[in-house]
Amino acid sequence: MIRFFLAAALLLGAGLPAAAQQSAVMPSPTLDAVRARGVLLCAVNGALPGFSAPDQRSIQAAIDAGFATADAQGAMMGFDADLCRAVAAAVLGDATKVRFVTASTVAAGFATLRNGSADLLLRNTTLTYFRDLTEGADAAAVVMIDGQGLLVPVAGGAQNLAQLDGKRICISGDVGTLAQEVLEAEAARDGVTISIVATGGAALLTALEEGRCDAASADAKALAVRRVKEMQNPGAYRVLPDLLSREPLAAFVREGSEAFRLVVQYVVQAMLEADQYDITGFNLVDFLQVNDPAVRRLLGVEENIGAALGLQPDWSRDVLAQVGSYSEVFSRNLGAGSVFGLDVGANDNWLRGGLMFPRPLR
Amino acid sequence: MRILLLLATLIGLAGPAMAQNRTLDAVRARGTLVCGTNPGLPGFAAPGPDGVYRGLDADTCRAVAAAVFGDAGRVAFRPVSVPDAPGMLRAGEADIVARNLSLTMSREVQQGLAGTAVNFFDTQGFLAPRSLNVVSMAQLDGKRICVPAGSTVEIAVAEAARRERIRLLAVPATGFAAIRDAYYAGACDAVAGETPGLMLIRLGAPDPAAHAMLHDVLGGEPLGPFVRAGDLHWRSLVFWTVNALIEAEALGITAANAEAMRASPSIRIRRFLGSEPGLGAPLGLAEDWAFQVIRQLGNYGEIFERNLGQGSALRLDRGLNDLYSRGGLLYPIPMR
Repeated sequence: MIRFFLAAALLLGAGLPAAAQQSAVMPSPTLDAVRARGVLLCAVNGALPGFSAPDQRSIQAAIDAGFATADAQGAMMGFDADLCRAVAAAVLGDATKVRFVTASTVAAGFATLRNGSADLLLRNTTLTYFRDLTEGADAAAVVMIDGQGLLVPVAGGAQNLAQLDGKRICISGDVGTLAQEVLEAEAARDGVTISIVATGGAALLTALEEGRCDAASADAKALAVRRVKEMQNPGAYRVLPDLLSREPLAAFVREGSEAFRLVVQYVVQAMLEADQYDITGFNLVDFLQVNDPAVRRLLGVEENIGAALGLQPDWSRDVLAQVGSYSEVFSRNLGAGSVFGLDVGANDNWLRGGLMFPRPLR
Repeated sequence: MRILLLLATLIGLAGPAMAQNRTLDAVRARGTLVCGTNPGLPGFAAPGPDGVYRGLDADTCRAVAAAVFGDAGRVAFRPVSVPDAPGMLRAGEADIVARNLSLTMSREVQQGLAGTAVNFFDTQGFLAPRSLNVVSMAQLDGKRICVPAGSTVEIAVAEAARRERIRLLAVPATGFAAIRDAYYAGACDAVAGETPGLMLIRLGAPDPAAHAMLHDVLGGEPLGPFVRAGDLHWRSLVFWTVNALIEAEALGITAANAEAMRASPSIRIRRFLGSEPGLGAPLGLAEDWAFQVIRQLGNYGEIFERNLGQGSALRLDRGLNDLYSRGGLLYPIPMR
């Protein structure tokens, strides 16, 4: 009988007295460490504008102001960097409490999680079967849908891989054989022959500009931002619309950091769900008055599910007010509000034709 | 040890179950997967006249059994209500619950459950008689709508009316049978609810073909199987089994061609099907686990069609539950 009542109380959630909710906080060494430290350690790429890169203007401003050793840490900009900030806002109530750790390769990124030099990995890293199960990391949430793409000279006129028959395609040697595997499989399917030229990661676009290959292949969004940032004449090149692979980019935590994994997962879900109701950092205050129970739960007005993770009742408001909704973060870093102007596309809410379908915060 | 104890504290009532942290070992030792399911929801899990459970959720459990044992038949189905489902998992009375449950935050952080993968994107919408001649929500202006009293559907209907700037006259009723009967009796012009429930109402009507779903949706719920919190390996095993069903569809692998595809020129397909080693070790399963799943159950599309789609009485469209490349939301995580 007691068991029935407990189960019923747990099920109803809202009916739980606050004291009972407090006593049921999930243990988490990672969350404890973040709180004790007062800062979230977030591993990012650090060299990919739009995702995570030091903001040149603020560095220059710091130097101009006489701070000879500009602290690039505080100036990390980009989609991944903002998701790190969103998690800091939820856990610490302050989006600025992030120390960025840069990882030059995917392998280095996973190593930072394993050796404890980062709590969270947001390094435009594709979630795959083998990574999820063999890197000592757990995927917390898919944060962006991407795919391997092709960057080609506009003058060449190629519209897709099939029209690159007999051509040389540059890939970054840093990513191992995955990009090559994808290209070879797709070329075989299209019945075309290509030759693959491996370059250093940094030299990928230079190789294309210098004519050492006829196309460059990497994650499409990375190609799109690097085209704008690195090429002498970006207008002479374009990223083809076809994607050759599925690249779901994910946030990872150290394996076994269950409560922290759930925090990261539901911070992302909250940002996605906000988009479903058109809630932004700017109009958030208006939505606090809305009567819709789903909105009230999302904003922590009437129920705080996050308490079981040790979060404050206003955690999602901190995320949205200090960092913004998912589409705001996408837009200012990669989309219409950025120099890259990428289409949100598959990363839009499902009600607007995208693939993003948030898990409800209830 | 400290973590285990604290986790046990969190779960509270689960005590003995938590000590058993390797669900896979327990399942293997028992020789059967115990699967909590809906006692009777056609398309998801319902016993047929022969007593055999059929449906998307039933087949999801069979897929896990095929992954673990190489034998989809080694499943014991245990019907369970929504309120009892969390306790069933926590007490170790089931290894998995696949019974059209929404993957929500409270289940994961308050109820001691771990969500795995989405196996069905559910939507809320409207069913109306074809004679009403409506295809969109806007055309329901001024109409009476049967709704489940006090439900999220009732709220969604009110919200949608405000958004669309139309007037919908809610006719609330309590319980599935009362809503269905109110609709049949003409107490309302259309009925709002979760899609599978609406399809049941349609199916039960004297002439099912005289009723149709509107294309507009009110909202959606991600449904999927749950496992007990605290066994990461088992959560991963269930997640990747469901994902493998979708990956197989994306790769064009079916029950019928799986055997032949083991000789595919693509190393990715050969690895997926176990003719190239690699897939088994990370989950502690046989190299051919995904092959056994697909050969015995088919890919996600095959499972959908026979249980919910054109091969079933429900005749649901794939809709959101189609591959992303065909306009749906199914985006398999690459099994590489």
